Amino acid sequence: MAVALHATTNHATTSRATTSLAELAERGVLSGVVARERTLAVLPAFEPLLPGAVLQRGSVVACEGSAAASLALALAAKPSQEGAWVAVAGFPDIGLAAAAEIGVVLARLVMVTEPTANPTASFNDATWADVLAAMIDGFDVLLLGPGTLRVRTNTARRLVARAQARGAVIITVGANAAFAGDLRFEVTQTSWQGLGDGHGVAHGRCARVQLTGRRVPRPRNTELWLPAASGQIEAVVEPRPLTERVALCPTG
Amino acid sequence: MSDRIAVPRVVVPRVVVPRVAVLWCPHWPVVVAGAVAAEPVMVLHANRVIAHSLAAAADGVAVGQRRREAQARCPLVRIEQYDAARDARAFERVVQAVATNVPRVEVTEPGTLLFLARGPSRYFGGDAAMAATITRIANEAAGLAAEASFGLGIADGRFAAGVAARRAARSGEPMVIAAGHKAAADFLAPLPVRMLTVVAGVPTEFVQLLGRLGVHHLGSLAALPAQDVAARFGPLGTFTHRIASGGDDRLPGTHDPPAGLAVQRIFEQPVHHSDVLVFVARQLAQELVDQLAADGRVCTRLIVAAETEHGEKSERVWYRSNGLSAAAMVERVRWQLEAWAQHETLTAGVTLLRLDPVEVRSDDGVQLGLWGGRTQADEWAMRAVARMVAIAGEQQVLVPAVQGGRHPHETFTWVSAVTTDLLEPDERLAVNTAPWPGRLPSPSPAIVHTNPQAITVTDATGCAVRVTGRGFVSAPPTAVGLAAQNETVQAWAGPWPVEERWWDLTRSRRMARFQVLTHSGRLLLLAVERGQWWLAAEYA
Repeated sequence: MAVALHATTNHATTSRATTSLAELAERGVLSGVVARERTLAVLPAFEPLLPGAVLQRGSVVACEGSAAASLALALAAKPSQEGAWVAVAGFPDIGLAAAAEIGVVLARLVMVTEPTANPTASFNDATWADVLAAMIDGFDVLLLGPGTLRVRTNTARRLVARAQARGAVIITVGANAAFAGDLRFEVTQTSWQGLGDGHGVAHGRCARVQLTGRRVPRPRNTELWLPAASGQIEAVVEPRPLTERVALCPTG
Repeated sequence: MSDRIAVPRVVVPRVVVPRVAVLWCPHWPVVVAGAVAAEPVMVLHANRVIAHSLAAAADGVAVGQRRREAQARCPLVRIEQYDAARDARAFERVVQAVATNVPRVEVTEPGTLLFLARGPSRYFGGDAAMAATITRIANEAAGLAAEASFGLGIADGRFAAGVAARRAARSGEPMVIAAGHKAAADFLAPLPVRMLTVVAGVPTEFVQLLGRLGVHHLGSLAALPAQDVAARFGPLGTFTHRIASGGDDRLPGTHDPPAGLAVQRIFEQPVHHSDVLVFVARQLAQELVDQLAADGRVCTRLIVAAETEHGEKSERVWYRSNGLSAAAMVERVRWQLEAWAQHETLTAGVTLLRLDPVEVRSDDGVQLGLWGGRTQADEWAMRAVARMVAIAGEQQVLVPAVQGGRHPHETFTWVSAVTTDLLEPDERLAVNTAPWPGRLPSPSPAIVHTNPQAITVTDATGCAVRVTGRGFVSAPPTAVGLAAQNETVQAWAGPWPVEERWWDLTRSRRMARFQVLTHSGRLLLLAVERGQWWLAAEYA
């Protein structure tokens, strides 16, 4: 307690206060929500890929490539199942059925959208800053869609600092230069199974995912079912040629 | 030489039940909403009525009803959303007016305050004179007419005083119960056990259980032996038995904590935004609650103090009989700061914020649930949602609800977060197990366009692909013309025709869906309706 008081009186302005809070939390001085377990679990398929097999709280994860949305939902799924709340910002086109199938608990999902009826009323940088700050305070996982591209770099930097103090994980869907990612997932190649020439139905996608980032010394590659025919997100056990397609009876 | 064994004397502290005055306004949120006497108004929280005006009550609106039920009874009713901060800001005027005449005013919640009655009574010349004066002051401060006014009840013990205040609000005259434990018990005896829920916040299930066991009045509960009630119902039974027999709701184990528990933060640079203060308050509150929880204690009375650079001070006592959680503390800090900033013109930024627990007791099991129930994460998320609604507007903060339909955008819909109870999602997310004929199989697309984009789909000869009424494709599609670029088709499947509401001329729709995999690896869900192709969704 004495340490916390002493430290914060030294850091007077709020931005500096938040950084000092992050330090305090790391040293274990602050307790409770701020310094509760500093990690979030992930689905088993991601465990071999991530350093420590977990998501560090306060980190920023970028999901890019052709399967970015599914990948982002898959990363949010496990924390959501374990009781975390997921907030979605600037992503009104998110497919809820897909989110539920991937494993995100819809009971703990909240979205903030911009007013669509009146394009002039869409959020500016300051409004997004307030909304995202409130999200960071109350939610464990944030999914940022293309709507948040309007957030400026300076604002984003402050929000990331706040997320570090508070322990929220920010996941961006698609490239978002303002939120510089600690980790960057990129789907480099995908192949859909089950779709023929005028027949069949897509039932599974094999995706090659590359992870780069600050704590990852050299890029890591893996192949994931995103999702598999069973609907689960799984690692591809026996890599097969990406071009091979499973023949299916026509469903008509 | 005597064989008597010295029995250590157990000193039972004599519990002095304080004489308390409670000032209570019926349906304070409605008063704040500015209801005129004859206008039906109701205030909703999580889709349930929490307060209503007299005119609405005359039409059958009651606390606890769902919105639709209440609207069915009173279609003209004006609906206001619950806003605790607004209610608290408005109540600050009353608190200030009363606090100029009476020391140590404790605010229980917006609309209710209490203070110790003995000193003020002596000053004003008796309980009755004091009650009349304070009621008049409170009504003037709130600008209330006589028919909807504050009720003031004076009795020994908070519970009896709270009940008396409710009685007083109904009759319009202050109610003074004679001093002494006996008088309070006699006053409470003929009243229904429902009062335990209304005044003391005892769970409804418990009160219903009492009713089923044949205990209908507070008097019959008080007449039961205290040990038996404790054995049957545990701490809750002990508590209700004590307050029903005229005791105080302050537990015997409650004590004033040693100094040094207070947490505070000094800002070298004065802070001008209440957001920043609330953010800091949250850390302080968490620190305080953790400190107390480590010893198994909980704070029941808290002093929140803030001071500006120029020495302006705001200090309030907040009381909650079943303990203040961290979130509850933060909420009270926010109420206090917002009211302070609104009612006084502050000349400088805030330099000090202090939370001082002045009454703690052992935590007797109002713990957060281990399985299910509310968790701390839920609590914080609720606060954040309220904050986001305040910033972005209630139509902009949405949660999913099950709708059902054939198209990806129809299986779920978005509803405003303020119209549902976020912590009871079963109703909005109850999955209908019956199949939807014509629904696309999973996996579902991860991007569903709310505004579908018009596209072109062409065959090998460059002509637009058509689908006949019998569901035949004119030629296999080979290229998809998106807004940005053209993509060639690698694989495709379809058409999956849908014919909706064929019985309704104006709303009937015929369309066919296709899955198209392009050479760049994008899997698209296309729809064709009356010859026009749309990009409906994307399996991104």
